[in-house]
Amino acid sequence: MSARELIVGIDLNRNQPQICYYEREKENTVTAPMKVGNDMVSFREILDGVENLVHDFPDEKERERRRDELEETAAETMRKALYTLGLNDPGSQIVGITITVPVLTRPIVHLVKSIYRQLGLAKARAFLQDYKESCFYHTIYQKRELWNRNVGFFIFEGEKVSFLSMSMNPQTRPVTFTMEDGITISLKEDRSLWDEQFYNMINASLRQNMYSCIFLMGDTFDRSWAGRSIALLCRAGRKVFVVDNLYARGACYTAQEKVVQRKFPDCLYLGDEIIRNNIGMKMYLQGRETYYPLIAAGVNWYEADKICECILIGKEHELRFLISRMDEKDQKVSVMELPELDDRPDGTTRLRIHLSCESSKRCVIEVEDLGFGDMYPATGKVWREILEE
Amino acid sequence: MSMAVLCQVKRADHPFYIRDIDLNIYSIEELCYFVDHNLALVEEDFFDDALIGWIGEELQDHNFVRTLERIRKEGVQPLGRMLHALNAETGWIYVQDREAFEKTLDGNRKLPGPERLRLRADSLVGYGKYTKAIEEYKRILGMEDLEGLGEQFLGTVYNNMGVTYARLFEMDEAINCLRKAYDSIHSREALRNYLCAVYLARGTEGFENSADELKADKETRETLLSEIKDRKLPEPEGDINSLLGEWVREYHRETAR
Repeated sequence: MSARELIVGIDLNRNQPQICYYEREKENTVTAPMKVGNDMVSFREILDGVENLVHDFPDEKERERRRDELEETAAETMRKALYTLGLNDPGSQIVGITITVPVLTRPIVHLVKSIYRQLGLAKARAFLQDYKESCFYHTIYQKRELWNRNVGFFIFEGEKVSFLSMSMNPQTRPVTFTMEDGITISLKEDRSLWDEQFYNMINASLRQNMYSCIFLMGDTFDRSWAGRSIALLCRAGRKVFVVDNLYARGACYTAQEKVVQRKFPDCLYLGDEIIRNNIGMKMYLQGRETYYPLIAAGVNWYEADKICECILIGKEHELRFLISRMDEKDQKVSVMELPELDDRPDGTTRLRIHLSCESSKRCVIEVEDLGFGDMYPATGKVWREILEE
Repeated sequence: MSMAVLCQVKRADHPFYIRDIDLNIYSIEELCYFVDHNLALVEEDFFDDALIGWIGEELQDHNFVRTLERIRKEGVQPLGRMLHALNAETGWIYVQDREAFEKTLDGNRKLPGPERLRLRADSLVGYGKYTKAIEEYKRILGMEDLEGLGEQFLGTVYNNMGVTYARLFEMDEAINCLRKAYDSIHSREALRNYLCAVYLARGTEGFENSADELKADKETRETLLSEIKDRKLPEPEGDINSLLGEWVREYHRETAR
């Protein structure tokens, strides 16, 4: 493997983590299970651990200690797995990386960010997404005719089969894509009934909608039992693919798109994790009043993080935030009061503003009084406000 | 409605030390605020290698450094243009009336050297840097071209120097200076300041003796003594600062140009 300029996608799951890498020099994409030496890597314990932290460790200090332990173990495991692939210095050898997980939760986001930090992978080239977004990136990196209509995904996880539908709205600029969860069924114990069950599920899922392509994923699916279902899937010229590495490949395409290629600047995925509001402030820049964006709609909530500093001018101890929906022009004003902020001469209060998100609909604003050097020392007062959709 | 001004230049990890007033500054905004409010303390060589180096290394504001270096190289009214550039860098947030600011800058530039030095010394008094201020007042008195500035100027210097000595509780020096101030100006205010210092140092008897010496009439000395006592000095030592501070402000009001 080339030791430089690698683009990596990792499917971080409990059962079978996968890695997909793209060598720019050879233009070659490879997908493989994650291994350390000859042993398969498992993140089960770590993922279970971080998701159950609050339950298992009610004491906050104890919880933090355990979190640190788990995050260190995760980073070390990831480092060893990358080393097995010949990457001994991920920080300098990887130009772009995306880790994809089934569902994004705050503990998982924290874990992945910590892994990136420990591996020396900067925010600008290290991304995180859920499976749905991986499906989106995987799809748009296929031939255009495969996604000029809806795209369907049947996901087999043991006896459970679920459906996911990707649709596009070409009327907007950028063109927007959404993923919609469909029905879920449980396959019966009797395998001879599976084809019938799945056939009915396909009918109920696709209905009269136009699908240009269907992806089938998961170990339980097998052509041997699905003859009638496959015939139905292939009807009306639909292309059907059975894939076992879609999430890792999708993650790899994401890194490729965001860091290197930018083939689809006019395509926007509107996932559940996407923030739909723009948040900004009117600020003076070089003496002119200007709209200054803090959080831009269209980014994932866990990637939205903005810190800036400002000088407060005027008598009111408050900051005004402007909020607008991504598809609307009207702006709403949200005033954040700063009670007990010291009275000082005009222009001698410096504030640090930190915006981060707890979900796509919940933004946290923290404002800290930085004072004004030795003239008006910082009080360290912090104000916190939640903006909720 | 309050407004926010975006800080586009990072804060310094290590401050720049303004020796005159013993102040550490950490940001371009603090620097700008300081100079805009203390023009008298900003001398021609204020933007020296140390300050420009700090702006480059600590604030990482390399564009501004290039501007300052270009102005310095061109050498035409460098201080005024540098202050202009500094205010532009922060969006003129500390100057409400640019025209008035320009006038003050221009006025300061045209002031004779001793006048500029007096403003500087007065500013130092305002910051409580009495020893430094006295050094500057002495520098003024040692200058050769004072005659053209008139008795009023000399009287102002002695008055302010006297008040500064009083703040250091060097009352003999204070009385000496305030007497010279009165001899130069012959105003009622100067008389009151002098007699007040005498009263604080030597009590009522000293006050009366000095008033006799200056041939102050009965009415004047009674009024002055009442004024001094009205300032309520139950503990002269504790209140002397506020009283003297009041003198300085009053005197500046009286002698403002």
